[in-house]
Amino acid sequence: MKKGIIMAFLAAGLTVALLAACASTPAYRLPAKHPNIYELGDRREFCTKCHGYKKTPVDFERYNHTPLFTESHRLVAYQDQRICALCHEQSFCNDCHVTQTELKPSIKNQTENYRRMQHRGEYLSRHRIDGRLDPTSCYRCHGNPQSSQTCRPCHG
Amino acid sequence: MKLHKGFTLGVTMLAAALLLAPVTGSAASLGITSDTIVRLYERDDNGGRQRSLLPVYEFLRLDYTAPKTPGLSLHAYGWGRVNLRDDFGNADDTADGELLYAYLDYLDPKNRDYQVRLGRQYIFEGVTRESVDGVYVKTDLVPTVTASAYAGFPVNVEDVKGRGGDWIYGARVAQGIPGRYDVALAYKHTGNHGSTDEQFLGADVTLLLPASITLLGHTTWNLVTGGWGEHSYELRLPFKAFELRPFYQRYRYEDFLNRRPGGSAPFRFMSQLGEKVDIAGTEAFWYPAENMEFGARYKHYEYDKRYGAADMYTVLAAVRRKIFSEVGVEFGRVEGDIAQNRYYLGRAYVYWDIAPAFVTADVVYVNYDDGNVYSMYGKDSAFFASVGAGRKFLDKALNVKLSLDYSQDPYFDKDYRGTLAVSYAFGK
Repeated sequence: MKKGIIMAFLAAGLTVALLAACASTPAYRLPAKHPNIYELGDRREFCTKCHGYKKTPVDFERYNHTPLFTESHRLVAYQDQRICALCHEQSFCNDCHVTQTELKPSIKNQTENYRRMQHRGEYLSRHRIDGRLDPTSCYRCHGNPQSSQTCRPCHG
Repeated sequence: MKLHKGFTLGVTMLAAALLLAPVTGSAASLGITSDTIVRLYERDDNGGRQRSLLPVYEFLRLDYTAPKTPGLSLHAYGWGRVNLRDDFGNADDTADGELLYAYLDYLDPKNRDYQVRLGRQYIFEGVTRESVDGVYVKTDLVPTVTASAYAGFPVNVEDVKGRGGDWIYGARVAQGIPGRYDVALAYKHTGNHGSTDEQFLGADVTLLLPASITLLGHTTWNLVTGGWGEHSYELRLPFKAFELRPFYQRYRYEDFLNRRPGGSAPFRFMSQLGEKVDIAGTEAFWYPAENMEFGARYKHYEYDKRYGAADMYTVLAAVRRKIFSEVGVEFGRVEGDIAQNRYYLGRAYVYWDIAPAFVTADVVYVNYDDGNVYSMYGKDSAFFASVGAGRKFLDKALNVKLSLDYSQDPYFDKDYRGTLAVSYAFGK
């Protein structure tokens, strides 16, 4: 089964290469950084305000920071972290995506309440219910041996 | 040990940078950001012992662009903490810290066709969201194809036994036309003390459909357990000032909640239950004006074995003024199968910019349907309030923020905390 999956993976990779060989779309390259305006990397902003709704070469509508963006950005982030890096330094992501920290994101940035960060307020009692209903949402950030240090004092 | 790896390293890095700055770098090529956070709170332990806590945190970031080598830059970030009064309860808690990243980055200065990173770094793509000590390469040299690969030591599995036999490597290959579609395959292999800890295959897709509808998707296959870990798919349907985002997710705990050694017990326990969960729902947004937004989300959880179904409802609204000021409210309901798994949540917040100063306030109230359980000490609500203020100085390079928090909840009768945060951006 394992070999079959790996073979399928390789075959798909070859198909991708074949598609690439056939393609003739002119190359587009993202800039390294967005111009630093209006504290852009620290704000929850809508890219389409300036960039509009044109779909190519970048579909900026996809990256609009909706009020629920904190919880639903992973699908777009997995696909090209360079888009995130246009406005955010890696340290910005490390507020949540971190190997080890003692300050939950909402405490580290207590006055930036417009960012709707995870676990805002008293979360200790609420996490019993959220964790029971959807442990996968806990696992994403607390699943590895280093980051699960926040869980181990109580849960082992 | 952590002190040496994090705090001392960070302080050394700052000192070195400051020493080198006048010689090698102008303000434009060297940026240093310092965030100092001082927290003050009092705690009563179970045994009646009173502790006064005054931890001081320093988050330090350095970004240096080599002026004579276009495309080359250095980036580093870490944190350290010392306790100025009582410790957190453990003998080794007096000081702690962590180097979060420190890497050299080289981006092809001519066409931006390839990028190489060397050092400690975070990698977010495909099936990977890991901290790695190693090398990462990404290239767009082949038209319509983006390929990336990395290899090194995983930071996340480091433990008291050290790093012998730890390794991580992976890759992602994507083919697509930017903005139209892309399809990608990804692979990740993590070793811990000589044995395979994780081995994932993943696929992700983005597809622009007619009427500006977008499909986003992500699937993982766990090669260690031989099963699908996750399927997450989402449609985005914009219509004038409205947008609907229906989604579907499916997780198999055995294949998603890895039984990796060193992880926390609940994940290892749940991964053995043979449980699966299907999550379906939608997000909806309405933007009646540029400065006004309404959002809603509904999630329905359907379990294979352990619990009955559950629902989660969220509605929120926010109004902005002149980019920076914002007022928002939120209401939520979690409705599990039994009363112990149900609660209401309400939140209101304001961030008001009166440049160069600002004031903030935040209130969160949670009401539990059944607080009469062991872990809730018979209490059925939690209240949290925070007020803050801040001011920018020195042409916005210095930012001083103060917040005072109050909490009354199942774990604390009256919890007062104060936080002073001072951010300084050198080279801004």
